[in-house]
Amino acid sequence: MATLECSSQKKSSDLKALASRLLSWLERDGPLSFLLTLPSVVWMLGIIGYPVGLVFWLSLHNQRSIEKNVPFVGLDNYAKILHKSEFWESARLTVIWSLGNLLLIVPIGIAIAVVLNLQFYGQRTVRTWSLLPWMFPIVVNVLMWRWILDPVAGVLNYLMRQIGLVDQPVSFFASRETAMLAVILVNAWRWTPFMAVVTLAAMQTISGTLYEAARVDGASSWAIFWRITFPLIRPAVANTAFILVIWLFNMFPPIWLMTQGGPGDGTATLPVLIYKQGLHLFRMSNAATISVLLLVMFIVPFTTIYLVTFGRRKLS
Amino acid sequence: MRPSLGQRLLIYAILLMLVLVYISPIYWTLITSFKKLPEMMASTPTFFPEDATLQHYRDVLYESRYTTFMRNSIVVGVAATVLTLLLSVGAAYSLSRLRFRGKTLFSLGILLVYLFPGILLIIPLFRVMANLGLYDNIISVVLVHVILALPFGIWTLRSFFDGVPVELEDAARIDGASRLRVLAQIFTPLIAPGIATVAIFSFVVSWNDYLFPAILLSSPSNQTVPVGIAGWTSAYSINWGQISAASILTVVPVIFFFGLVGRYFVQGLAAGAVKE
Amino acid sequence: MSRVAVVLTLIAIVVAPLGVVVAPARAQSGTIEIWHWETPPARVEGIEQLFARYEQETGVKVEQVPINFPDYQTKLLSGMATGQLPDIILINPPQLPILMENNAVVPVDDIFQSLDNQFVIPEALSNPYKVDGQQYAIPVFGVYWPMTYRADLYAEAGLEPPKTWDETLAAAEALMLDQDGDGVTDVYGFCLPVSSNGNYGSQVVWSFLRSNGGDIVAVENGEETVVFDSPENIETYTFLAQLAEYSPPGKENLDWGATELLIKSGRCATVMYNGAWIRELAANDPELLEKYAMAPMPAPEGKESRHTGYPRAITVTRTADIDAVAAFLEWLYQPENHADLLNIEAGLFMPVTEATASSDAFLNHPVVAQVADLVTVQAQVGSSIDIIGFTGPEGAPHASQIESSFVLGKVLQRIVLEGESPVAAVAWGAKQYQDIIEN
Repeated sequence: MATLECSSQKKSSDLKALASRLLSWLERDGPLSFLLTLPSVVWMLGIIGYPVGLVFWLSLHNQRSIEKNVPFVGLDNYAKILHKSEFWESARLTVIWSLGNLLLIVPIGIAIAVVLNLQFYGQRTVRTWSLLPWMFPIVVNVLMWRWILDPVAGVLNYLMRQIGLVDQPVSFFASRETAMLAVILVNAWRWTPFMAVVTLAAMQTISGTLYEAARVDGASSWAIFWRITFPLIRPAVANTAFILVIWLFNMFPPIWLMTQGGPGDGTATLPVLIYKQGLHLFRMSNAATISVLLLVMFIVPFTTIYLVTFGRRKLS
Repeated sequence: MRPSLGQRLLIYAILLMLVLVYISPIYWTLITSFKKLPEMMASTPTFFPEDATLQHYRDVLYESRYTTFMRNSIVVGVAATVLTLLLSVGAAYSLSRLRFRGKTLFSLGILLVYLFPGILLIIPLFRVMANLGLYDNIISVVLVHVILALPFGIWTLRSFFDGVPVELEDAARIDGASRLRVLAQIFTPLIAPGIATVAIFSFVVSWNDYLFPAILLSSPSNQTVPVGIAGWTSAYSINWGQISAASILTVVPVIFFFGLVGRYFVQGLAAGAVKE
Repeated sequence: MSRVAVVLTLIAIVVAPLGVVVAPARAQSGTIEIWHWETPPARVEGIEQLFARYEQETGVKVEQVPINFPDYQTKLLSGMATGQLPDIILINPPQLPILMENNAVVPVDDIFQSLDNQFVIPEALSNPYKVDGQQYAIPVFGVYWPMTYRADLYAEAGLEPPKTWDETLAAAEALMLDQDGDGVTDVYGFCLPVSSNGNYGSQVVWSFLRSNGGDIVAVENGEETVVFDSPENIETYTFLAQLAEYSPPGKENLDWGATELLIKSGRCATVMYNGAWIRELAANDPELLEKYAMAPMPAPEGKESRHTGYPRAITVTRTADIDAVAAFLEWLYQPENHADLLNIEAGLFMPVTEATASSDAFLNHPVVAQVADLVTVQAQVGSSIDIIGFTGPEGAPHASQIESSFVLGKVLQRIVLEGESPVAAVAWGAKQYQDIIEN
């Protein structure tokens, strides 16, 4: 009994010693940072690293559906995809989609920020709630608009008839051009407030004395915006626009939920093409190859250009 | 700046237009959710339901799987949020206060994750999850949703950690507190606004995501709200009344929640974005 | 210490709900699991009740997993890849080659023979599931796509339901109606989908194409030849492009859901559709239901009309307990039970055994009795159905990919929406099909 007690005491004191050793070990930068960052690293490698490796592997092999023993085909998949007009058309649409969105979201977002930065009654409330459309699930946003744009019973068609714009209901998804326009507008509706809120935040860091000095010098509001406000908000706007473009290159749900890439393949940007090849036709290798091309032809060059021109300090 | 009366009128006119552009779609969805089928489909629409009905809400809540979708969405969202917080507090603290090998590589890695296309991941993730036996299991979605919010979380919290004076930490260390204890007891309360911002962000990202549940889950009983509702339009019959009712039910918690904490969130988000 | 407690609580909060969700994921052994795509809530509920009755009578639990149709193939493939298949999978003929290619299902000749002897299953319905003399699936109910039209509007205009393509065009033109006189069309002559965002657009083209004697692929000894680029098909598309003028705006997005909505709100004078809207209309708007009638699809002068239709069937997986499945099917095909299955969506699910077709349990269901004419037409149409890839004695190995590529709909879109000539568009379609069979 006594020995037992003794050994258990010994054990617990051993344990205590071990724990305190562990704790003191954790007082040092290296081990502590290892403990604290390891989960994030493992997570990123597991969910991003390994799958990305798999994408490259798939793009060099010919996996048609789920068969085992997939043959290595080198760069054949790339040659095949790059020869397809479907791919180049889709790449073109990706550019139109991203550029169209960007040209709407950034200028309008900045304009809204300028208005919200002025003094008016209810300013606080409006500023806070302006982010709300961005918080709506994409699905709700898209379905809401699909119902408004519905050609047979949608309200927008009715309003257009009332003001004499058209005399018979029209469908916005009947031609490639109007379909693309509709998808871009709906997406911009969602993202413009986000741009505005970020820009507004940047504007509010600008000290009021700068403005007063300029006003004393007799500068017009227009000149003040371009000479003072804009240069100072440019880093924040550029950063946000950069992230936005990357997201736009990859954006899938709004297009898919509005048009599923139709009519024809008129709104089938590269992400839509990847989805169709992979999960509808089950051409895993084709989908992987297009994914790599999206990365190599769009994201890598764009990021490089951006980092070289704007964001060198970002990495430090 | 003190605008003149004319300028002020112009401001209010622009604001009114903005509010209209943003409120009217929501209003239209709201009234659709109360309309019966013939009124909904009439070629001359009504701007206030003439024959209002609660049928669509009853159908959504009692006759559809909406409540199941809702439960799944909440479970996924809460799990992803808690995991994101645990991971990002540790990583952000390390980046802000500790010196270690591979620090640059680590922050570069975070940036890359942020830039990585989700669409590129769908094919391999689908395969990985299928091989792990996690396909059609909400754990797979939680695993992915953590990654969606983690880079933002680490960046935002890092700038909050940077803002805490070093003296505070030193004082606590002199009193003999361990570093982990300092992290938990001194830092956590000080960076609470940052933690709240990250929590909201990761919950909203998870709550709104369509892509990953659509690919990684298939049975309706495992589905989340966004994919569940979207499925109603691709199935055999499309019922705009029910879809509108479900949209409203999905958005109401967001609005309520936003009303409570939106102000802090907008501030935190802006702070993070401006500092970047 | 309290911080540790907080962290532990947080972890518990995360883990506990996950456990709740994960736990019931796997069905215990001794139960029969079935995958199907009849996802509308009422159907899921009806199937649940039927299976509950089986459990009550025999003690054997039957579990259903309803899966959205667009995800069905994905789910099948991932199930095969991971070896996690149920005991029974409901399919249409195009899905069979995929299951067989991956060695997932077993022949069911014994069960089929026994059921056929007792209840009589027509060969036309079971043959698409016969490969090399072996039966791989058993038809369980039929879904057929006749022409549906507003009999009241046809009568008012003094028109007969069209039998030929010329009559179809004439009727469609005459029945573009502005009922409230506001200058906007309220009823459309022919709700023709020009869509590729779902199967519907291609299903409608398929029926017209077959009625004109056209096809997509011919199969001999497992070799597929694309026969899409034919004068008949060009003629069919030329006709459909004309007919599309009387289809509502938004025709480029008409899928099943959107079309059912138009039918349920009475806005199509003529449309090709199955009976999926009947039960709901019987419950919500019986007056409008009365106005609808069905007839075989129109065909070109002197040709026989063919229909889109599917004998949906049961396949049994390699891992299933054959005896348990056989016992369950023996019970399910008893006319009174089988009729209950069909009447879950009364007016849509058509019998595939003679015993059930003539049983009181089927015919006396209130909805079936109320729309007896519609049911008769559908049953009649069931004898002239064609399935993509299964028009000859041999099934096409790529039937599923050919069907789910929606090229039929895309070709029509190119002509109607983009003004491409039928000749060029059909040639484009042939190239797409060539791509599919080569891969």
